[in-house]
Amino acid sequence: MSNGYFALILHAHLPYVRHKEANRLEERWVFEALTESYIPLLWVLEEQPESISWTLSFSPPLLELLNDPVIQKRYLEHIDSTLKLIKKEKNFSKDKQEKEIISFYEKRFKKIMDTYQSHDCKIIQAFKTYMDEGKISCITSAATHAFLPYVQTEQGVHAQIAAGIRTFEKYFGSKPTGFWLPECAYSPGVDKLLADAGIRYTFVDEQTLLKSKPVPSKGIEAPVYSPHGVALFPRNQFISETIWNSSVGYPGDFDYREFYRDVAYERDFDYIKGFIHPDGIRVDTSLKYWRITGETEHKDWYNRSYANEKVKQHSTDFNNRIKDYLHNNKQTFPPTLITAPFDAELFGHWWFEGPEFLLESMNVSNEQNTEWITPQEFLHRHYRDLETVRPSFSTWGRNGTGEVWLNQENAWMYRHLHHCERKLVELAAKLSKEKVNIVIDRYANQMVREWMLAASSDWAFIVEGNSAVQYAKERFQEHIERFHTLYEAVQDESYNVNEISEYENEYPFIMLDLWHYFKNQHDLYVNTQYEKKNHKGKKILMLSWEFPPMVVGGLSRHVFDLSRKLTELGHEVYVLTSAVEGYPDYEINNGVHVYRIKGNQPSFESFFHWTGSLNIAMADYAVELSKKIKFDCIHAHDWLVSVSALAIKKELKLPLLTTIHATEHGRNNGITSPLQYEINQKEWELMDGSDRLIVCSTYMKKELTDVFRIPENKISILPNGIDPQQILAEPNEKGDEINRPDDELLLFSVGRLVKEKGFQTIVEAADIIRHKSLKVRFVIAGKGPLFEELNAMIRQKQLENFVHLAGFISDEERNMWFAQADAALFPSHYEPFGIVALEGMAAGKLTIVSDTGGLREIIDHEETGLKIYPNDPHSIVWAVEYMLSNRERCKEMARKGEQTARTVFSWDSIAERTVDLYNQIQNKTAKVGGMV
Amino acid sequence: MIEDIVKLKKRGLTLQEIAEKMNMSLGKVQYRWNKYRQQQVTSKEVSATKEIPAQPKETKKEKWSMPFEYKEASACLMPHTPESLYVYWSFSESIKNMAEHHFRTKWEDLPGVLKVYDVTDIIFYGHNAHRTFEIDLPPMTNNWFLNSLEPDRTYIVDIGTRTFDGSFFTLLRSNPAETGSAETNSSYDEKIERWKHQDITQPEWLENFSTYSYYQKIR
Repeated sequence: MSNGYFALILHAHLPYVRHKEANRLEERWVFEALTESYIPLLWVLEEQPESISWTLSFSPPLLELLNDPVIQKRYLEHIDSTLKLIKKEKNFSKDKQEKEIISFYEKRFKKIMDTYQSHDCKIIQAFKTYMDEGKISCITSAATHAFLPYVQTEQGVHAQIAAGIRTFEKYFGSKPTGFWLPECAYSPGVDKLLADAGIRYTFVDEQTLLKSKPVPSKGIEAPVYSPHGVALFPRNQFISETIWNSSVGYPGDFDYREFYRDVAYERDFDYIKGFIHPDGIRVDTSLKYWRITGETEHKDWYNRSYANEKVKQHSTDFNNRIKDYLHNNKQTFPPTLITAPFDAELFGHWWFEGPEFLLESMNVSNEQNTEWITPQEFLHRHYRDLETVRPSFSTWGRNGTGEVWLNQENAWMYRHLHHCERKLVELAAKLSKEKVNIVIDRYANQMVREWMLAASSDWAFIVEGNSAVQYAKERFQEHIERFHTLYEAVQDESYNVNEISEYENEYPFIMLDLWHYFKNQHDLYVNTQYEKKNHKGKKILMLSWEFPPMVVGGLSRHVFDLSRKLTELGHEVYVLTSAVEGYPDYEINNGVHVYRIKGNQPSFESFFHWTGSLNIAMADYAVELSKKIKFDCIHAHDWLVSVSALAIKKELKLPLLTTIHATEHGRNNGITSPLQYEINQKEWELMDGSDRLIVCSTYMKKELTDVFRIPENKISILPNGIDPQQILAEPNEKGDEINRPDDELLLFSVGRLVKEKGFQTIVEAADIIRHKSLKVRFVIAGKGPLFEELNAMIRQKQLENFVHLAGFISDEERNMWFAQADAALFPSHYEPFGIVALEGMAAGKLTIVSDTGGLREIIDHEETGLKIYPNDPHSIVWAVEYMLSNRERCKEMARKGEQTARTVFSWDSIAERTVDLYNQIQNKTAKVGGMV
Repeated sequence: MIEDIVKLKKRGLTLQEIAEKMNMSLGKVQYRWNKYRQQQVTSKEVSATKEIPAQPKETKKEKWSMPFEYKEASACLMPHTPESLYVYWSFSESIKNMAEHHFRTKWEDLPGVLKVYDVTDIIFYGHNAHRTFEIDLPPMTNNWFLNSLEPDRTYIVDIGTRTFDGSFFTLLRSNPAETGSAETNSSYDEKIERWKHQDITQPEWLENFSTYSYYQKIR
């Protein structure tokens, strides 16, 4: 009894080379493999000792080929033809030794014919019988032997595995417990899908185990579990070498049959032409009369008794090596296992005497009590005793890497395969919405077949090598093109029964339902969520770089108020805005769908490029959303979303409406720096590319027509709105915090502390007022770059009692200040609109504004408020004095101002007017900002 | 049989070539072909006189042929060896337009740059890689073998361009991919221990396949 076990695994595989037309060269691969390997392996099984069992893997393409009646018929014809050739050769031959070999072939081919016919051409059925008897255990592989680590999607891998298993089931009546990983290509995650499919074991290279984390304590002497619990049996290189190695392996022995010399190339053309390819191409006839002889061109006759002798020697040697190995690697538990997987075609096809060697080795093992075990049986006995490790990507190819299947020659293939996969996922997502038309169903299945046939690892392998390259490339391209032709037919609804039948007949491969494998839980879920909702409102894609809680300027608030008002009016608003740390990337806020998006470089140091990065991400997101949400229009806000707005408009063919809240030119009173120039360009491109523009004031409209040369009729004026609710002070909250004399005037200002807001003018005015001994106090709330400067100014002029910088304040604090103040003061130099002025009015306070920009249009001087000259402290002083001497008048103005703010500037009316614009605009020719 | 002849004929083979390919005599092929042609003519005449309207739509579409690349924004990073990875990519028209728009530069004039990030064991958000390096791409490049990488690391690749002030600007980002182990590892692995003891619900290593969904950004 030996110290361990030996496991033999043969993997039989051919690419799917069935063609409707006869006499394709590649079809002979099947014939040769049948003649030399598969049928002789049946003979091995017939005679093998009782105690021996081994594992045989059939790839699904091979199962389909061997069970194909057309192939079966053609193979019979082929054998028939070979028998005829043998007859002719018998008459032709004069040499005694040659005659002997010919008669060997005559017997052999008759036996092949007998075997094939006795199984009614169904040799898989014959293997199944041996499986049922326990002589072999059969397993299968991926549907088309795809190199699984290079399949892109989980669905694709799943389809390859599941369709493989189902094909096996079709012919063997049960599910396999083992699975041959094509090319022993393992990558993390493959094991999960195998485990999910009920697979318990597979095979990898020994290096896969040796480089795993952690390294298995038993090395390659025992299989291991992958993280997801699939047993990985490592190929034992040392033992495999005896057969694989081209220089020292047994098959290279000089007494064995020479593979490369065939009578096809030895005879006159006229003599042989009936037995080679009808086009006159000389192809192997399988009649090979010579032995390897040596490293010489001159070959001796093949001699069966020499060869048999060597088979005996090599079998004994092989068994000795196994015994030595098991002896030298004494491992107590589980017992050492030698796993020896090979290509099945190596035995017989490449190494003619291979099947006999196998049989003889079995006999020797039987005599010497070397125990052969199947992985299935090994697991049955030792499943508790295996370690778990995590291997990385590896194969049984050159250097154990992917380089055979991915290199300069064949790398181009993968983008096509991956593209097909994604199209299949898309198709499955679309089809799983409703009951599928029976013809489309067939199209979808055939598309999966075409992808599978293109994904066969053989093509990449062949393209990397040097024979049949043209065929491999053509087949690959053919399937990719067929895939897309079918896809187009589904897309443009030109699908029809005739076409699909023709496609199916061309490659009748795995005629099962296949496209369902490409379904995805998430897509199914989305489909149920987005069932046809009959919705009358508009679907608006809102683009704004800021949205609460991110508030930089007035834009954020504006977009928020407009969006929720639109929602209240029965429309659907989808806001795309930038991500905020700690806030959800998707939420429904007051009925508004808010997507907070991160660019690929969310910390880009340059703000300008940060916006560029954000825009690319926004555009991508919008297109993704459009797969389910049929937007009616885009509403963009300011230059920051210019790039995405124009791109989405073009891609989705939607009308684009843009609100310009302010311009760089206006803010800076001209364009001076290069960055300002870039922004100015973006503004212009956005204005130019939009179908409709909204500005908040006549002042802004004039800026657009004058500075940007925008046609007047493209611009609509819609003021900004306010929500009076937002201004109400909480009555009993900290009401008495500010103790101030009754006769003191309090003027409240709020805004970002930037130059164009004109707060420095207030400080100057305070200086004058102090000298007039008026009881006035100015409160300026807000933060910004000018804070320090203003603070210094106040201290320098010793105005601490007259001007108070409140810094950043909350909305509640703001409302409290409004409530306490006698007036709201906004002395801006530049103000496209001036929402703060509306807030002052809505708070019921006298509102004093600069006679500039949008402010000018909000206030009717001495009717709804007061206007002052921008940048003129004396004008502020004037206003203060006016207030002191016209107290009743001022109250009346405040009342009227409040009235105006609550009606003319209510969000309800503005939102309704915005919707009118949505209804009017149409998509004009898309313009994309370009190079100027 | 006639279907095959027609198909081969459409592929531009001569009758002689078809005869050879189909293992038939030239005479037979000629006979079949002529007969087919006659039938075609009569059926056309019939349809002309009777005006059969509902012929299946024979819109002469141009046959789809395999392109050099697809006009879609994608970057795919694939495992190759312990020291190398392979990345291929393609741009959508939309991304090209946006890049042109943002930089106000023609696509052809934008430098192509590839940036490699070592993101081993981190959640990468664009700026926190362990190490990065850039490769200037020759024009018209749409794939690259990244050599001389470190074994056992996770990488992400961006395809982008360079701003005027020399910063890298991302246009496409790949999936992460791992270089495999190059040598024997230690006999203890924390990640597998945590996994075995079910301290974690998701493996802490990269699993190769994306659960790609069509509506992936729709909730």
